[in-house]
Amino acid sequence: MMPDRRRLRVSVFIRMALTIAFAVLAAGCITSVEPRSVPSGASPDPTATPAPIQFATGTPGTPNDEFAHDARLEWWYYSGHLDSESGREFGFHFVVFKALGGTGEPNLVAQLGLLDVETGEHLELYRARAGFTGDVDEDGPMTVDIDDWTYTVFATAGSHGFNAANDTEAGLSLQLESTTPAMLHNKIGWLPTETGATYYYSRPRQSAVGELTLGGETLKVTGTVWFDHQWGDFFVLGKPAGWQWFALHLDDGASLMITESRGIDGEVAETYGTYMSPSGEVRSLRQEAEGIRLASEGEWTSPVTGATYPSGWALEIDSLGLDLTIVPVVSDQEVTLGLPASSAYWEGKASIGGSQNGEPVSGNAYVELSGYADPDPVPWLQR
Amino acid sequence: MLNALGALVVRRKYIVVAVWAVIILAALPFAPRAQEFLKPGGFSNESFPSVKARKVLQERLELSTLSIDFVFSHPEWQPFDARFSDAVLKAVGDLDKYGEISYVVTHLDDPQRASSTSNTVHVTAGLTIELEESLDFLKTVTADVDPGPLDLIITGAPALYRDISLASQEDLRRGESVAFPIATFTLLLVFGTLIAAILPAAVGGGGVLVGLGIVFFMSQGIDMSVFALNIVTLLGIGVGIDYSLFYTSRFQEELRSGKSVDDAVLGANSHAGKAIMFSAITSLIGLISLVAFPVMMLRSVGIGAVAVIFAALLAALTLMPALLAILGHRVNRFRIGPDWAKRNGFWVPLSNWVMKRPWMVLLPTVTILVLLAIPAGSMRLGTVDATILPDSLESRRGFDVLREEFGFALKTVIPVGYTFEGSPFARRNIDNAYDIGRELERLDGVSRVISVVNLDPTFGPDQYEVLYQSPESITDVALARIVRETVRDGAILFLVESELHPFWPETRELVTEIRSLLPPEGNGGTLHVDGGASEITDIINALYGKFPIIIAVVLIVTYLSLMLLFRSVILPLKAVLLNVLSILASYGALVFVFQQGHFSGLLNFEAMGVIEATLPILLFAIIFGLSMDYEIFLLSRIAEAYDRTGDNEAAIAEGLQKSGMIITGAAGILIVVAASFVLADVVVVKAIGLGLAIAVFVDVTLVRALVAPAIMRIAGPWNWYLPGWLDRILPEVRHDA
Repeated sequence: MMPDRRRLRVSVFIRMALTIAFAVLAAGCITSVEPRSVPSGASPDPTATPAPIQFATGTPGTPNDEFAHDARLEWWYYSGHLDSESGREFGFHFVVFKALGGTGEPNLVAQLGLLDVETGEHLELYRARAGFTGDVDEDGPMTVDIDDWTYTVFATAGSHGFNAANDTEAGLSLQLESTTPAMLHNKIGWLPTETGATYYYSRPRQSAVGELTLGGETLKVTGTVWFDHQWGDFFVLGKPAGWQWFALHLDDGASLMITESRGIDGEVAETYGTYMSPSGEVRSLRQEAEGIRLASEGEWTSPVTGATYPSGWALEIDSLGLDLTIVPVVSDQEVTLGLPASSAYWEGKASIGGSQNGEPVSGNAYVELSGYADPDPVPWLQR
Repeated sequence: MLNALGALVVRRKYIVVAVWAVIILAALPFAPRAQEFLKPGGFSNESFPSVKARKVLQERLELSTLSIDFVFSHPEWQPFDARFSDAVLKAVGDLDKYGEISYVVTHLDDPQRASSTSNTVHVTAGLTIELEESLDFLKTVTADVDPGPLDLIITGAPALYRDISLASQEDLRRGESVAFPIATFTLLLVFGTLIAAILPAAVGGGGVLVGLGIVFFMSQGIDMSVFALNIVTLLGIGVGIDYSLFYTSRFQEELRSGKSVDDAVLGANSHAGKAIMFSAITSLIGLISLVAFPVMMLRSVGIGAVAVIFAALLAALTLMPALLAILGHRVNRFRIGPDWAKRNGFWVPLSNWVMKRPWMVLLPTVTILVLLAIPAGSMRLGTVDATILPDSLESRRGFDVLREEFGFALKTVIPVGYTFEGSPFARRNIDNAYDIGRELERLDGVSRVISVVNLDPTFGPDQYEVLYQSPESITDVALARIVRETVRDGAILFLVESELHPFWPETRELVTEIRSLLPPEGNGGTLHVDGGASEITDIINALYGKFPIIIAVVLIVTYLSLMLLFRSVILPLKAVLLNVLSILASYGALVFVFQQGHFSGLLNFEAMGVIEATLPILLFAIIFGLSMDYEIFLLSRIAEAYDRTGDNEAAIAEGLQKSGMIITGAAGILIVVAASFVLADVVVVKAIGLGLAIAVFVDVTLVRALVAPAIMRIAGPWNWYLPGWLDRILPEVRHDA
């Protein structure tokens, strides 16, 4: 007996219809999103206030801004004056730069510049590494390896050390202890600029003890060092922008930082500074209010980069009664190693002469001149 | 028509053999060269939005999306050791003399290219040429870069594609060397005589040779993927042997019934020939569907497979009867195995056992099939990267170093180009780009956006305007590179980073979200979304936008063909549904093994976490055709017996008995051939082989031997139901019993 034809036909067609319906449904599963316009007019809040800088208090768990920060750019910068046991004079700068790379991870570059005042020889060494994976304990110390160099910031405020002495021809290792309080610039240690803001403080006088190697000879050295720590989400622009920076150790025990910065048009944007009296009182200096005048009195042209730098300055600060002359002890103290030519700068030891309130004054200085080397052209802009 | 063809072949048997000899001899020099004009990859298409976006980005931003990557290492020297750096510069310092290279970045330009965990450095040379040209250029560069005291591994897309091509050819050679001896042994087991066993192998092999020859010539005129070669060979051997085996066994059966040689050939042609023809038609329906996909890899597999199946069909319908007519009774010479025809064997008792308890058989077996298919529900489609290659190959080793030491390929980078009129640093364009940058950062799944206007959350358009007043003055190394590499007049590039893996479906949702963005209203400009994730989105949209419709068409056309052949509305439905079940079970196995990584140690591969997007489609096309072969071979014998006896149960038993050994033998050969691809180095080829082997195994064991007879027993006379009106309008193609 044959089955009911009508029922069968319905059953077959229902199944076929289900198959087709499944196929059509599945086809509809490919996602699509309605087009929408990007909303316009957003901008960040410019009124955000910075958190105050904090240093180690000896109580575990308290923040310490001497250590590294999650910032686009950060540096720990030492420049100082060293003497050997036999009285030979040296200048040096040692810096650890931490900068975000293109991948969003930080890169580290460390530089050491050594000046033998007697011979006028200026040497440069550098190391670099990717990533910031130093041993950073919450309560310190912070130890960072940059290739075979080691940099340490101890838990005690102002106590630092570095060992950049692995090369046989030249090197330096120092233990550093602050002999003054920290110097917060711009009163709270916060400098807004046109291209981002930065925290900035100094430890203007650190006593240094260590060993210096030059020409294969290792000498025990002691001295006084200026330490700068700067971090933030900011950009440093090159020529025609840039700055002149002066870190002065006056023989009466006072310390003075003066910066003259230039804007993107090459014109002086502002001149400001911070003065720490021999007794440790800190005073923020603004150009107009304090009567700051800075003038260069000579030039030096680099045979390496072709950049022409100011060389020799007259500095007057009416409110402090200062009338100073600052003279590089050696003209050629340009820093180029490990940097693009356009980022070359001058970092050098200088001597101070002049008067304060009519009385003779002298001292040592370190000077930094940035934004004098010609920039690398941007190829697509040249077309 | 078939009878006339059979008669003609029998009459002109020597001419037919001679013509085939000429064709095979003509194909012989070209078949081994089939891969010569095949192209690597073939998953993309010029019409994809991602490909169009890439062209815009290449043109407007000089973006180089193809690169050669050099991995230098030294056992002792650290990356920034002057000896290490000098050796790297010496090795790659001259590369910028080549016009094909747009840039070279070393660890000295970007310290992130020096590993922080080992003495390893990654140098990239960006290329201005297309992938196909880069393969030759790679040879030049490889010869030119002298690593000196350093160890060097070269990787990157050109090296990976070179190795994929080499590995595919090696896989093919290895697969064939394993598959052919085992296939011949299986044929000996099925036929028991040397001549009968050699015939299908010879005719099948001849078909493959001709098919590969056709591929050689077609690939000179049409873009065809190198992946086509393996699949075409696999399919060619499979169906070639299937058809010849079915034909030869029918011929032997006709001889045993006392017919003359010529009548036996005609009888085999009338029954087996028709089944083979319908079987080939259903296979072709599945495979021609591949041509409809706008993806060269699938299209070329479709074209190649059609060529090889057509060659196999022609060989089965002409060369095989001619050879059998010449050989006659000598086909049964040199017996070295059992004569299955004289044994009741396994199939009759099995059939009787199923007939007595159809529900008891049906329910557990269907449950097993459904359980096998369940993992298919969690299938995640994606695409392949270098992990499909074995780690013995240089490019894969280099890829692994880049992945482990530098986080390469673990996250997604989607390049989004914004094109507009004028300078990128004009205030209006900074404002627009700034808004786009913020919006991109806000999208779900985005971890970071790199662009000239996404430097810092505290920056607004005012700060960017100052920053870019004099772009040359930027000394920040990272920013200077961003300005040099991601900005041009009239264009700004955003690199959208996501922690999502490039293969994940969530990444495709992110690409779709980005594509839906329009630049701020009234300000004009266009966004172009490039990158691997974007291309994968296009590939999957292209494949699966059409796939359901193609499935529906294939199922309906197959249903109608089978209805025509068997003059029933129920049998074709059962056949189609069982085929779908076989395919779903193989999908489930694929997910279980290749996506979830079970047995990865045993099978020596790295789980991809996704199923390569073309695999389900390829397997659908191949398995649907092949399992339909078996269904037609089985049903045609059952139908023949039913027509003669009118007894449903007896017909099922007879059909199983007469086709069971042949189907098992044919499937066994195909399983061996497919399973031999599991030895392949390229994981995609491995997956195709395993998917196919499992599908065929499930099909001939659970589906054909148990589920199909059980359903037919339960359906009883409904099996043969055809409404009268349909009976009247359907043309008569079924043989006269």
